[in-house]
Amino acid sequence: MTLTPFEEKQLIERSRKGDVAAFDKLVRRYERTVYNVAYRLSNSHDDAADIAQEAFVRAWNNLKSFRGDAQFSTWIHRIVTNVFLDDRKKKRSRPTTSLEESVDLDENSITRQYEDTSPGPEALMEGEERRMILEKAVQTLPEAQRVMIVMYHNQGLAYEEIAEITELPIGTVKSRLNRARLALRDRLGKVAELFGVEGSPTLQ
Amino acid sequence: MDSKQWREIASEYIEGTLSADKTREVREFLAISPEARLDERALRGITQNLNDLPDIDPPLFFADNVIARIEREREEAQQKSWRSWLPNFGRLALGSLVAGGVMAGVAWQFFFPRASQVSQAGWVGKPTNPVQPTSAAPRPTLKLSAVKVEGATLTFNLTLENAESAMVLASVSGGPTTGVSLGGTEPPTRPLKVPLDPAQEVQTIKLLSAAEGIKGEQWLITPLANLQPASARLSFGMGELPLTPQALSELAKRFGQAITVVDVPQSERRIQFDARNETLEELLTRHLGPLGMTVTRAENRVVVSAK
Repeated sequence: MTLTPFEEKQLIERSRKGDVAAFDKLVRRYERTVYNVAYRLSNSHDDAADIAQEAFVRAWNNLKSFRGDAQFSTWIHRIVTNVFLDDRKKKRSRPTTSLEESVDLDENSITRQYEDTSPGPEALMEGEERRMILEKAVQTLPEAQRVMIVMYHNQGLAYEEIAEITELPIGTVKSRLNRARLALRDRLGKVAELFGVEGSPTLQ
Repeated sequence: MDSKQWREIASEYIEGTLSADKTREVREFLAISPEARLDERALRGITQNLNDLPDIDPPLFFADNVIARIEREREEAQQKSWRSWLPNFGRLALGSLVAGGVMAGVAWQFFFPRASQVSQAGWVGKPTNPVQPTSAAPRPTLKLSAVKVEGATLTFNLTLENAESAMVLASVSGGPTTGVSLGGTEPPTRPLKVPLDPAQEVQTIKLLSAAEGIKGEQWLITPLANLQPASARLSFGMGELPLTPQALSELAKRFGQAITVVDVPQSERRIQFDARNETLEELLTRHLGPLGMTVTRAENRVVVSAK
């Protein structure tokens, strides 16, 4: 579902006045985006459905505070990211032992890995398995870095937009994203080399 | 340049946002550092693969569930605010009033029962001595031919079987009601032309039929655009769906398929649906078969009926 900026503005205005039908249209416009952010951050369909639903409910309850200074898409991205981070905070206060968990959720944390069940390098010939390995590796990143990867690579947002969503300086966004990519490269170890693309400038 | 410095600017290098001087410096370092070259190659590959991760479909009826929750919470909040305004004796008085009203309503319905929806809608022909079906007698059946859409009109043939006569009413969502009588002095097979609203992407036509004491209800949901072949397959995560003709039509719409729902009543029952790279027919058979419903394909539609 696509909306012109004018239509979107009108729907936001009507929603602010309590028009659920107008908000329904906004939900349909952004459900895919919000669900994908939630899924890529949580890597679980069950969690993603809960997080995305909570994000829209929070957006509805806080529409009055949305003044339109930012884009609605930026605002909803911020909400879904915050819902995800709140959810993780809650889950940390009720700890359970998982096979892979972050020891410390600061962005410089090291992931404790109990067992590497990823397929051997030969399996990387298959795109599907390569995708699974990469998704799994992204999940081992600290949340702050994972948010950068999801916003930049999955959502295709610009540094400026990510800075607005996360309320961080652009320089911090860039350095976090760099650290996240390097962390992925390190976590994938030897396997990372098989992700390599041919034809990069230094290899020619 | 050393490894630490290289890693600090690796992303900027692969994105091509470094200055010309810095870029030259990095290239010189890469030429002498095999490790950095492996890093660079891996980072390019990882970046490209991250960009190519596929989009995921939200669960079925995700938006509906969000809106249902918002409405439920709003209702609860309103009730809460009303209750907080009422002192205890006020609540008692209001409760008595409501209970009295309900009892009066029940009594009114008992003495003045409302006519059924079908007879209200216009029974043509004489419903004298209606024959109730017996287990031995075959049930009156209304068969629909393939649906054709020509301009803003949808046409199909209706055939009456196992009954002398019947009346069929087709009501289009938000549009007029069209009627046709079958059998009796009319042929048992007759075409029915239903005017459509071209602005609507999907038209829902409710067919109400009455034949020899039997009332039937069929829902015909015909996507006017983007009709997909029967072999269209989809995958999506688990979502909850009420077992109603409207909800089944939403499912069909997602597959780009036309659907006819026969004698599936409005129900409060909810079912968990997911799609595992399957056609609409396969999906419905898997979920509705165990509930005693049949799913078949007739002409250009999937037909769901209660057995």
